Amino acid sequence: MILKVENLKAKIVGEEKLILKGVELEIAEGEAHVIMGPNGSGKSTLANVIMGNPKYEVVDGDIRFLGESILNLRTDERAQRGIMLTFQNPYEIEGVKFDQLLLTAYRKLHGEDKTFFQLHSELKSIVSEIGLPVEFLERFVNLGFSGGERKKGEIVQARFLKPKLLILDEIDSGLDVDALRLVANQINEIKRAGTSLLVITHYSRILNFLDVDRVHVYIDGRIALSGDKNLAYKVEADGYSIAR
Amino acid sequence: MLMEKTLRLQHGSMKAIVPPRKTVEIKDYSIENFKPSGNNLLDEWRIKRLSEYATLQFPYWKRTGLKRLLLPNISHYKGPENLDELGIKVIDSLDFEGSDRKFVLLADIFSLSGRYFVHSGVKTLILEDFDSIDNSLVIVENGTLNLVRIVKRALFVGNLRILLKPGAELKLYNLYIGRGMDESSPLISNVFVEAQEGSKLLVRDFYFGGTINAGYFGLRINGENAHSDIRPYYLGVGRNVIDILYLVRFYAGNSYSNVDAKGVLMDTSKLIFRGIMDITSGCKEAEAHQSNHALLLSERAKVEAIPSLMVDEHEVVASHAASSAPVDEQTVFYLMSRGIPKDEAIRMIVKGIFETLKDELNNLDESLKLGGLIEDALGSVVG
Repeated sequence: MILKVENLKAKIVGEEKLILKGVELEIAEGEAHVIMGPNGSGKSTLANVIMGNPKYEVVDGDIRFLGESILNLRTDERAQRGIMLTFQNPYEIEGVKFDQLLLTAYRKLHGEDKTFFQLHSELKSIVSEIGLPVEFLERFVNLGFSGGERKKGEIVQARFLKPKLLILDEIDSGLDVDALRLVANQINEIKRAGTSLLVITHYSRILNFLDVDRVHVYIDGRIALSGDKNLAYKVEADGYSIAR
Repeated sequence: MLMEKTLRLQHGSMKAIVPPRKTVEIKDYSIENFKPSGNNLLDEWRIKRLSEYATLQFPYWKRTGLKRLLLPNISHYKGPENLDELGIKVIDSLDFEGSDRKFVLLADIFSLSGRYFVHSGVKTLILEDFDSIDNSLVIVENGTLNLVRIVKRALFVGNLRILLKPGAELKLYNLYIGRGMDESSPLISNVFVEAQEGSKLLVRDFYFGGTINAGYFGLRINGENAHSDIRPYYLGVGRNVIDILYLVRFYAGNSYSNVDAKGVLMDTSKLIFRGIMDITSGCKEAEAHQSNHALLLSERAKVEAIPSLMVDEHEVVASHAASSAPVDEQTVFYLMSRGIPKDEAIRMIVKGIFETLKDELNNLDESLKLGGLIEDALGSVVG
């Protein structure tokens, strides 16, 4: 099991109200799971809590990654274990160039197994495959990027950094159909390379292009229903009320 | 033209009351310290300045804590001694109040280094040979001048006046790297610019080091279609006080100016940022913006931002913005989620603030790689 979430309860630091109210989730190595849920149900919070966002506090339960509890690990340590989160709204970082971020991150995650030139060449080929100009690498991270460029930038990072578990937080929002298909193909590629996936989304449309093993319907801070890909289409047809 | 006051205190029939100037007693220069330049025109002007200088005492500069000043011996005069009639006219007309009138006059009269030149064509000029008191005048007749001033000194009192003639372009980089170990050795720089019709001005100032690092930048826009892009950067460490003032006064419409300050404050350092965008009557379609964004890396670091928009005309665009905040926790989280430890993530964010300045300096002259100066300054404080 690559990820095991047990009775996870969490809230925003300094607040009382629970956002995660006992999440149970198991993802086997190499599998792709999808979490669907309405706005405000706490899907992004789950992703952030797994990644260790200091904005949130775990009050009960556990998160085990490859058998090890990661609750006491810092975010960078979780990333170094092999977890990566792509952000719904990636942050702008003035003065930090995209390639600088990625080369630094790669060395943190994988050591110095490749030279700077090998890494740069690999990065350029990924960027081209994703339909971005090579100059993209010279730009400051997410600064002045369009919505689509930001999402593609996150995918470039995932392809390059090769995490063991990739959590995609609404990677499909704001993408047109062509960009959606391209991004989905890239996600399939990442899965084929051995990465396990946790895809968080509102809509089933990305699932038309994704190779998915399991779908979970997430309502009010916990997983209410699980099934195969057909569950997503049922939600699309009947709404989230089927799980309430 | 009369001296350009920092604040115009009269509006219609209303007049503001100016508080009396507080002063401190510091051993001062007198007529005995006046050394002739060998240029009669210049000396006549200096003597006129001296008569005003003698009436003023040094200011009690509460914001910076300046109470003492170790003035150097005046063994000779050096400055713009090759001034011609045009030069005298320009140096006389480019008269601003400055950080304090006393310091402006001091550098005008007792300079130990300086130069006067009229530029035309395209050139990059790097100046480093500053003495503790400097006075210079540059006239950009036409073409483009890239002027880099690297002021690495303990005590420095300097004036730079620039006339930007119609259509001329100037890129001015002032790198103020203070070496003063206590309040008696401040770095005080006054830069006065007149931008005429269709001229383009790019200014990058970098304030770092020393104890008191005070900069005054006064721009008089005296022609339509003038464009100015001014970016002060600061890096405050230790008990460094950075006191900077940017004044842009429009005497012509249809012109653009943006003062966009940013920087980082650590330890118990303090920034005083005053931005004054002053659009006088009749300057239709002028556009003036100013902002200051300070990143605070210590709870004891302080920012005092005092923005002023003075607008005497209806058809204009003017704005200001200011922020001072610690490093954004979520941005750090984003970097950490890529495997980068927290201290390294913060270092990346801090260095990023100066990256554009560093790149611009490196691109000015590939062989000199002047961005290394910024890198060194950052390296010495954030690693």
